[in-house]
Amino acid sequence: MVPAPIRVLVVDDDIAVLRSLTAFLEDENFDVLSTNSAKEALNILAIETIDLAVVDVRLREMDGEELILRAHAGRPTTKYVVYTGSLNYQAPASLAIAGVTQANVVYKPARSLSAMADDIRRIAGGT
Amino acid sequence: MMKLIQLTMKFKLYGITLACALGLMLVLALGLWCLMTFRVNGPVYQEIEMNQNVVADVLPPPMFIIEAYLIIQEADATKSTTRLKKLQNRFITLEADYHGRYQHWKNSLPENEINKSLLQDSYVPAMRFFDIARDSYFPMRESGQHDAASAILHGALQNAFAEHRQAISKTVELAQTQTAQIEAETARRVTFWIQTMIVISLLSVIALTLLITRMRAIEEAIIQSEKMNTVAGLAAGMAHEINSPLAGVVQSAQVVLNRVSPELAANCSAAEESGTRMECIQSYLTRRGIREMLEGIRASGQRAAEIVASMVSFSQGPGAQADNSVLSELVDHTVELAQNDFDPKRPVDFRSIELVKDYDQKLSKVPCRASEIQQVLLNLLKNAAQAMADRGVRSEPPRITLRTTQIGNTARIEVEDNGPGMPRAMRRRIFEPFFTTRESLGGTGLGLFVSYFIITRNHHGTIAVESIPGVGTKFSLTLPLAGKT
Repeated sequence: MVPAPIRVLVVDDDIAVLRSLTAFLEDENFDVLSTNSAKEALNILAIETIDLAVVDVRLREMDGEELILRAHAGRPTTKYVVYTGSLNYQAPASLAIAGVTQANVVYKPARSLSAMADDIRRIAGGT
Repeated sequence: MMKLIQLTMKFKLYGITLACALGLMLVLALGLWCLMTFRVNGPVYQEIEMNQNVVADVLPPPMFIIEAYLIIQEADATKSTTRLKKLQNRFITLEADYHGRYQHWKNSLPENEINKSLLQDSYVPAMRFFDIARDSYFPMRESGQHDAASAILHGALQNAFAEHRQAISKTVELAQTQTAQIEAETARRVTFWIQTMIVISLLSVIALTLLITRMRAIEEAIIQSEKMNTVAGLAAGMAHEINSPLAGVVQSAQVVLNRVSPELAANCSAAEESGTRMECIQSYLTRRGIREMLEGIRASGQRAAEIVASMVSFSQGPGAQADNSVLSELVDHTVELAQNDFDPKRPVDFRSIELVKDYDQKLSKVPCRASEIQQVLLNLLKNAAQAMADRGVRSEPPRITLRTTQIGNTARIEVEDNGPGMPRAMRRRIFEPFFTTRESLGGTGLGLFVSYFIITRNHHGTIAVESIPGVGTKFSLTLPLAGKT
């Protein structure tokens, strides 16, 4: 009845954020993978076909921007959403190459996870 | 722009400092000069001293000539030849003494009117007196012509002596007059310079007071700015740190609410696998009020997130572009917003407040983010209106005055109320975050905090407050007119 679910990777070093976002997206019928490690995220992004990755900016091994740029080099089709607690965060011009603009930035805490899920669908759909 | 204001302020301060220093140096120099000029043995003192000496010399008048005159009178009275001879010898000594004295004056006294009177006017008759006495009187007496000699004594000699005395009197008078003049002149000069020094000292003290006042105001502004920047940095850092755990709270609550909903198929199957049904779980949750509590967790988390967000709201990205706005229109529009904005928790009745508008119609358009400036103005208007409730009984009606003016290269907006005013301690804290006087009315205490940064950081302007308890409060905003730096 439905097309193949969107494959999403959630990368966040805050376990509660990671777990709840993963659970919510699963409930919203996404195919969700999750990790709190940037290095593992790079592995997953290299091995698996991920439609969209939700990436926190501050991660332990490397920051989210570096993660996106490195992952983009290997898998240029993957889309990204930056999920950050820093309210004055602006998508840097350097991320434009990976298709990340201000429209791809969601600030923590997301007011509504449903709205965030809609954003993810829209961005993953390439519109 | 801010730098430019600071720069001109710096120059002003330097100017005042320089004026103070110059003033004090001038006073010091004048003081020294006065001391040098009017000191004991100084030039003025010596001038007076010299005239006093002349007077002392001639007052009592030179004894030589007076004694000579008395000697001749005594000689005229005596008939003894030995006595006469003795007196004649004494006369010769006196004449020599007089010449000696005359030479001393001639050498030591400078040329001036007094000395001319002394050296010429009195000298000529004196010489005549000595000549007549030496060449006529004493020879006549020697040759026994006592009567003829007496006639000369009472005639030519007496005249010469009287003429000499008159000249001496004139000299004394002249010297005294001149001394009096110099003394008066000196007194006048001393008074003048002392007054000048007092005036310059006073001006310097005024300038110094002005300087100290300005310095203190600047110091206060710098401390304020540093304090606010520290707090803003703290707020930004805290926002970042706290938003992740808040996301954990808010998201988890949302997921839990989602997972107890009967609408989700996965929930129903999980319930059945656990040997129950969603209806039972629903019933349980309702009986125990669990859904409301979960909703409470989400709402509280959300509220905390909103407070954090409003704390850093002024720094959220580039936001709207700056447009050129007509300030009076902006203010008017904000007043309309304030009048129509009805917050049931914080009711404000603008109808009971008189609004006075004093706009500078020539004020050029101001480059600013209109929505942000409106946010600031709305905040100030509401604060002013709400403060009216505490103004007590006063004869004048509640009034808010709105002013726009141009000062140099800045536009200025003033929001002045005649409300209760604030004590100094409160005035110093009003820009701090979470400082509120209306906790019960739901104030968060972030309005002026955010306003401060909208004006200073986003617009490179200034925001200042003046307040007198029992009189009112005035907020002044300045916005640079030239392009942003």
